[in-house]
Amino acid sequence: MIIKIPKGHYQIVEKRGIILKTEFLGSGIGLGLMDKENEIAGLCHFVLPYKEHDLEIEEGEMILSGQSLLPLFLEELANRGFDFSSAKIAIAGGSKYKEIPEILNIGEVNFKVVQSFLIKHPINPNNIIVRVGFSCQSFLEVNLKEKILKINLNGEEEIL
Amino acid sequence: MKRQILERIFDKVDTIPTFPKVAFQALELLKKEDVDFRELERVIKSDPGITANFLKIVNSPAFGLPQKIDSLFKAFMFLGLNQIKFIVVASVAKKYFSKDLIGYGLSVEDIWIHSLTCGIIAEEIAFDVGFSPQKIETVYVASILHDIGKIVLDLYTKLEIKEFQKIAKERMDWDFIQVEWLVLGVDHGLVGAHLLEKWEFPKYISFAVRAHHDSDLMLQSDIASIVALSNILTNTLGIGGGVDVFNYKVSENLLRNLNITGPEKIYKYLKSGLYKSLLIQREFV
Repeated sequence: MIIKIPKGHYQIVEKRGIILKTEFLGSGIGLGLMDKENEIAGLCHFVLPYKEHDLEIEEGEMILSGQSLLPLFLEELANRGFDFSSAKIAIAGGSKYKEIPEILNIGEVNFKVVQSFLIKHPINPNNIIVRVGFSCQSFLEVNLKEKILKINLNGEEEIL
Repeated sequence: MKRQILERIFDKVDTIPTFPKVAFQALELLKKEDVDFRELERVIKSDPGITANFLKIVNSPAFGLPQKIDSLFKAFMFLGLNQIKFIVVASVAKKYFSKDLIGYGLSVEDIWIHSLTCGIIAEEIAFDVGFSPQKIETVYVASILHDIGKIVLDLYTKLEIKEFQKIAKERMDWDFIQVEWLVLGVDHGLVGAHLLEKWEFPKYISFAVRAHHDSDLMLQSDIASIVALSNILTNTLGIGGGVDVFNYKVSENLLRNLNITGPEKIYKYLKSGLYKSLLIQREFV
């Protein structure tokens, strides 16, 4: 079963052969986490960095910014018994044009927001793969069936 | 070999159906002081495809109408003139973006929503810059049609995809325009502009389409600058994608050209573009 994670949302799955995938990330960020031992995995995807960018699409239906989405995502993982210290983590997206005025480099701002939240958790730096800021399209996949994280950079796949 | 490809590309331009007269007629009617909505309805109705697209777009939550609209005339009663103009253009453009662009790695939904979002963002920027309603309409049309050249080039991009990938890897410092020129002898902006000139669109629209990836040309007109910026912001939002996305250079002067000095306006455009595109996607995807 494949679940697409829309912009401004996250999904956490446990002990099931489910694949989570982002859409085209643009300058948004995909954050995927996998705890193989406890068989818990999650994928989060946002495109705008700060709380003031949260959007209410229809009554009660929110598209959340990184600042609003990430604490909810990471807290729910922790509540479910996710072990951050042994978890594998993949961060993708934040794409940017080859030469661009600094103001338009939203990907870098988004990445800094992710860093500011991840730093609060006991993460092993050797278990992180970061593929952010490339000048191409990127996608991220969390596959609990095969227990892998997969980054796709313009067709080239990298697995963690 | 490249010459042969180029000849075939420009031959293909001749096979693309002409931009429908219905659209030009409708836009002319909408310019009049007292718009004859019965006449407007008659003109648009003469093309069932455009009529169907019009009703589909108008019923998307993006327009927030209080009831389901089942007739053009009823739609006109709820909409402002600018909204009608925009929906007419979007309805016509939809006819061209009707199949996947395999060579560019874009699904029909990707390219359509990308084009529409560019139009939405461009309209807002043009309004903020202080353009007249007429000029806002021009920016909107150019933004919706900025990738029309990809329809022509897609087949050749698909045939030469390995060559594209090889050159892109070997020449990391090049942007996609340079790769298109090396492989095909032309780029999709130029082909799109050629197509629009053939359809007798005003020169400033075809120029904006020509310039949307050219970091020098995009500075030479305010319309071109807005089209280029709306395309950048739409890709920033992750709306569109494809093999060429982000593989372009953008001039440092682009924002200065539009008097955008801080990030606040950029986030405003991103936020409203995301909001409206998500609402429209619900109707189409």
